[in-house]
Amino acid sequence: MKKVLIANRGEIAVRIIRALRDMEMSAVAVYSEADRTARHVRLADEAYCIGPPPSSQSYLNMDAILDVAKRSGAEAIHPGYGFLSENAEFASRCAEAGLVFIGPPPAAIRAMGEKTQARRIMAKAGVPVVPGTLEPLRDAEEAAAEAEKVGYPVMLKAAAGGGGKGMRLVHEAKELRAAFRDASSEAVQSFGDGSVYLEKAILKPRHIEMQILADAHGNVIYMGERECSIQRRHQKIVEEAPSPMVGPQMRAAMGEIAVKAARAVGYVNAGTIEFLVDERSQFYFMEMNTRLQVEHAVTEMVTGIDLARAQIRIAAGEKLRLRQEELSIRGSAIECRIYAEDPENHFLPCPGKIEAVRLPEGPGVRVDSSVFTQGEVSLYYDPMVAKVVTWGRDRVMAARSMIRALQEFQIVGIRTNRNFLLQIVSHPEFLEGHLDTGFIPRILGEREFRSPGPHPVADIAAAIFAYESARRQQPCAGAAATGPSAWRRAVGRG
Amino acid sequence: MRYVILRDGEQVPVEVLEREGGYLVKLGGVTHAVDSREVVPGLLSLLVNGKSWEVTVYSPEPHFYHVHLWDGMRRVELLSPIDVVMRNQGGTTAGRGLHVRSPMPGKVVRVLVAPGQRVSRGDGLVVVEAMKMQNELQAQGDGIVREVRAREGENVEGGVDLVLMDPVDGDG
Repeated sequence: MKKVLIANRGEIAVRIIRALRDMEMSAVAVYSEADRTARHVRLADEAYCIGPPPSSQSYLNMDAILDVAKRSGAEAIHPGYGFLSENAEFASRCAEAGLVFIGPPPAAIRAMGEKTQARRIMAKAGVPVVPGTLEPLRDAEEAAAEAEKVGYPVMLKAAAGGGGKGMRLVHEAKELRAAFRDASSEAVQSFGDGSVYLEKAILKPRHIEMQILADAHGNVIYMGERECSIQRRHQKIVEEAPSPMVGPQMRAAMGEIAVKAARAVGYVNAGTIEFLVDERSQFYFMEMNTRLQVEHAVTEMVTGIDLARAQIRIAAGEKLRLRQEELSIRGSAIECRIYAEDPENHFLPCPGKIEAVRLPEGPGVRVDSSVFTQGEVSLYYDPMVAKVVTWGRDRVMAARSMIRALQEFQIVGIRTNRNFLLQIVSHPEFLEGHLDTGFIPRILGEREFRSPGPHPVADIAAAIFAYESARRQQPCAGAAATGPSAWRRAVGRG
Repeated sequence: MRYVILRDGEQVPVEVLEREGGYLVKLGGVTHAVDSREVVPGLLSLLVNGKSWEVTVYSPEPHFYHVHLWDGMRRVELLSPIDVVMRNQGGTTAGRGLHVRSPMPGKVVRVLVAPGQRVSRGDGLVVVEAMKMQNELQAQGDGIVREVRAREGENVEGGVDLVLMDPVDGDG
């Protein structure tokens, strides 16, 4: 395999290009009209336009992408995450076109894509699943009957997709009917399929996921877990490896179950089994992600294994090099996702032009990003700015480096959730490792998330900014003999 | 140059004086020696009595400044004394009322209010979908809905008024 097309954009496209470069392989980029100057285009060996900005016409346009593969002579396609990465039809079409899809077989994608089918397959394979229905619910009546069986509180979930869409937590029977209706309509909007199923709601759950790698020769290994309980509205924002609550025995137990799950669907390549863990450390299969995940970097930092490279090697037919007993977890890694959104304004996305950006660097810091000065955070795609990852000898060191790295991060022109992330990783509950999926709602509630109180330096800065802005607008009066001259206006990289 | 900061109903005087290639800033009875450099537009490096501060300042509209220190964002309302007088005479802010406008292009998913409806600060008015997320636009103060211009299913541009509201009890 010599040439690979990346059917994606943004930081993950850059990530994959870097893996290809490390392997001395050729990278083909595709871009929409909004991404002509994007970093992944400029770092690739070849780049081809696939359509106008909207995803449906570009990064989801299978015909256009397959056509570029043909024209460029690419032998394989890496789908990244999101977009077409879990699209079984796309994986099939790659195979039909004689291209290697860097991911699992279409059948595995399909099996895990419909959530109730995934639960059935897992239950049959002896993998513990959250008690609940194994088929989509016919209607609200059936939902009510099933809810009585497993006991409230229950969680209604969309069968056709995840990411928090089409989910409703129901505490009492009288709320069920309305919740069923809302979950179903949201599911139709997000996935085109209103099917809903039901699980017992686990209180104060932890969301812990296990990375696996499987080659095409029947070898499957687990790569260690990731703790992903820090979520806002079911979107992960801070992840870490290893999980503070998982010791070697629990890791081995979860890992073996994850391997069993992967074998049950004939899985090949990189994948992740998501578990919900209750207060008694009982873990239950929630779903399987049949792609490389956003937060894969923390696993790479503690295992020393490059997962993107492993994916490419597996797709090229190589056997896994690492044996299970050789897996070693060293130190602790934390990832914070910096998004262009405004926590002070209901986390509204803030697309726009980046006037200046300074990404953190230094010991124990890794940043996966595609932003650049004068670049745009587009309104057509997700507002990811950067993934900041830190590694430390232990969790406390990793957290300290994360605080330092987030403080170093500087951006002008768009709003980000940087300060919110700082509050999270500085919080005593975080530092003690007391994490569950209720963490964010709790701290948002307790700290009355608002601007901090007045600070004299803020007042001084506003006054000087106003003063200098006014002076700039007065062509003659501004050049006062006693004042600072234009020479002092130092413009640098910051 | 003299300014006034309006905060919590009070007026805080600030004075900026150019002195020896830097500034003296008088604030709250304290005089600060400040060396200020604009590293890139909007990013200031301030040395205040020897302490180093990196600050980004953005002015979304006249007299309002969003100041980011490392620990968060603060809104500072700063006017010249003339602006204060004009405002007291009812000159400057031509009441936009509490109109809610779409912050960016998107699609109206749900309209939650009707004309004549009384709403409180924080109540949801319209749900707009943009960038794959649903965002609920909320009332910024207590008021009465005057007109609803958003239609469910309709695409909207950024900066367009979606719900017109009038404040009650002199609020806004």
